[in-house]
Order: sequence, then structure tokens, then C-alpha cells
Amino acid sequence: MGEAGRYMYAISRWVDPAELAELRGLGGAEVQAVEHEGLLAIVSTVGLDEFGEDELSEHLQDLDWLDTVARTHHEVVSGVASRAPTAPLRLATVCMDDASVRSRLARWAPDLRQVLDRVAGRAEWSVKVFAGPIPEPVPAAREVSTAPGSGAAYLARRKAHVDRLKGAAEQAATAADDVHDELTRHATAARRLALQDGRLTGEEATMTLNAAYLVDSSASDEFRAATQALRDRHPDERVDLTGPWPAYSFAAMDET
Amino acid sequence: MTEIAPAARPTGQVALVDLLDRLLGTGVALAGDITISLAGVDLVRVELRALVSSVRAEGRG
Repeated sequence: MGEAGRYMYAISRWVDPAELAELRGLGGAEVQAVEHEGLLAIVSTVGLDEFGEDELSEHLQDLDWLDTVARTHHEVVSGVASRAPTAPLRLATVCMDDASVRSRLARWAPDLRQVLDRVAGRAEWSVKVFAGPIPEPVPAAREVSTAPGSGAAYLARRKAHVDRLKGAAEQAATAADDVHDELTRHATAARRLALQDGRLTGEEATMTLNAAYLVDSSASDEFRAATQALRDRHPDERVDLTGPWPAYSFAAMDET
Repeated sequence: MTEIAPAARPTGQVALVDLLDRLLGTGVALAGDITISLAGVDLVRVELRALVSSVRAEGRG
């Protein structure tokens, strides 16, 4: 390895160094903690031949590289978050050395402590809602029996179909809002994320809600039960629940 | 592995699109010495757009 830098995964409080040693960072590197006044930056060493500014820009175009880095980042963050309050950092935050890492901890200490207080004892749950199947048009067979007035019949059928589609879209949007409102009541904080394109998720059904909820660890069973109750209330929609995630969506420093 | 990897992960593995949702869009944004900041996010979105067009192309072929 030529020149080296420190890749930062997350900020945390005290973590047993022996437990950190069980984690593997990018390229299989040892995961370490850089400390400043009770704040820990969870880091590992990376080569600047891979994580230098120009190299990063190039690698980000490579989906396999991105896949590996994103998964390793997530595994380290999850490993730390299962042991201590953890504020995940965005992908690819690299400092030149430990002194530089410490200076960032010092500069942002009050904000970082605030984030850690917010996520301590809590986890993020992801909920996605997918709309039910799109209504089929009325079968054309009936057109034959109404042959003399087929133009009018066609228009009526067409209007009925458009009304059904509109009704289905409204129902899907209402269901998504209901799920979000109800789950927000069971969470400390909630965020709606951008809906994902079906071509990336491979889902045929339309996504109507992509949301994250920050939930007390002691209330996770209750949150699961609330999700199940919403499935029963909206049998046409599919409600996907995943978690617990590290509190990615609730670690931004500009939030209160 | 095909080009539509994010959707085609084995069961139990987190989809890349879900990870990127969180690793790029959220989390603590501390500027490092080396930073990809917003420019990096844009690059990734370009990559994802490229992925979308490759899925379309495969569908036509």
C-alpha cells in the first residue's frame, strides 16, 4: 500500500476494543477507534490509491466496487450499532490521519453528542408500502352484444376504467398516508424517503411509501404489532418491514 | 452476476438500492480531507441511471 488514509464509518461512544477487533473493514483491514473526549470515530486504514479524490470519483462509476464498499460500510456500522449508540457516517468519508479525524471530532463534538443522545437505545425500522394490483379493463367481449351503440359503449367502458384506475390510485395514496401516520405514532421520529424506482427494486407493484422510523428498542415488538395491524387493515397493499437498522436516517446533524 | 444486481440479490441480503438510500442520502455528513460530497452523490445517481437504461436495453433485447 502506498499512501494511506483513515476511512470513517461511524461516530460512537465507548466500545470494547476487543469487540471492534471482531469486525473487518474495507479490504479486510482491522477496525479501530480514534478517541477524542469520549467520542469515538470508528475507522480503518485504506490506500489512497483506491480512496484518493480522483480514484474515488472513478470507482463510484463501478457498481461492483460500490456494492462491496457499501456492504462493508454497512456491516461495520451495524456491528458497532449493536454494541453502542452509533451515528453512521455517509459513504466514503476519508481523512489523511488520526490527527485529522480527531480535529473533526473536536469541531463537531456538541452536534455529534446530540445525535448520539437522539439515537441511543433506539433503532431505525424501514417500512415500504406497495399498491395493490392495477384494475383490469372491462373485457371487450361485451362490446359485441351492444354493437349498434358500440361507440357510446366504448366510451362508457373507457370512462369506467379510468375511474377505477383513479380510485385505485387514491386508495393506494390514502393507505400509504394511513400507514405512515399510524407508525409515526409508535416512533420517536419518522421520515419519508424518496420512493424507489421499480426498475431498480425489481418490483412490479408501485411503491407508495418508503419511510424510516426511529423506535425505542423496548418498543420494537409494539412497532412490529402495529405494522401487522396495518397489514390487516389494508389487505390490498403490501407492507414490507425491515429492521432493526442502524439509525442512518436520523443521524443528520442539522436536525433537532 | 448480471447488470441488474440490486434487484437480484439472494434472499436475506440487503438490496444495494436500500443501502444507497441510506448511505448516501442520510447519515452524518462530516467533510473528510478527501470528500466526494454532493459531487459524489451525483456521480452515483448517474451510475444508477445508467443501470436503469441497461435494464431497459436488456428488456428490449
